[in-house]
Amino acid sequence: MSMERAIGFVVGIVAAAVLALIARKIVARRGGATGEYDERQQVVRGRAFTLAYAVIMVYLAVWMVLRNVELPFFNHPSSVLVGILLSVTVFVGYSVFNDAYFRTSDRPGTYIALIGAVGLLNLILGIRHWVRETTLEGRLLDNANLMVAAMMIAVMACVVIKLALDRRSEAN
Amino acid sequence: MKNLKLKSARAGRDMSQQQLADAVGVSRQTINAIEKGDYNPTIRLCLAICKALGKTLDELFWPEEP
Repeated sequence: MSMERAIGFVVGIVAAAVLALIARKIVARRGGATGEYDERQQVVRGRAFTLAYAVIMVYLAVWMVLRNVELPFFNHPSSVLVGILLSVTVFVGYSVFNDAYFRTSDRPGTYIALIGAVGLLNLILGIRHWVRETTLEGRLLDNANLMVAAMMIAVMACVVIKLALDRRSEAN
Repeated sequence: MKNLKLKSARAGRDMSQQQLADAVGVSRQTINAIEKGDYNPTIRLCLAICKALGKTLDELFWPEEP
């Protein structure tokens, strides 16, 4: 790893930590995130974690096999990121659909806005990268922003669908 | 197994699931899951629900004899 990449890596982690802290403060100020998950939610989140862990283990097992077959995608570093993002999506999706993603004091609307903002930022950076690159490999495989944007869209879709299902069941 | 005793005790107090959930500090979905029999609460939560509804553990959570 070159010095430039290493510095970029560290700066990225620090920036993400700062942004996460700011997001947490915003959510707390808007009336939530001070409470804890209740006991059922903790059980569900434990199951979600187990499921997500299984997903990444299976993905890595498949990844190791396909890496030896020399498929271009599985020999690219981004293929590991896809596994991580898939695992995170499974964790969030399972928690959302079992009412264990939001604490009782959380406002889902605030989270949708935050997820949407991060997703949009990554989408813009991903599209910019796509336009700059000339090869399909460069456009897709080197494009971590686009992969993160896809995950954010999937997470947001889960939250929106769940909210719609809840509204429909309350109406019935 | 559905917990109809809890549901009727709550209705008897004219409380919604949300009101009971707020009283015992859990989410509405957790109360709903207990009433539907999808979740077995801990003894701690059972006691909190009993206190909120003015009932005993036997009255709300002891299964009826067949």
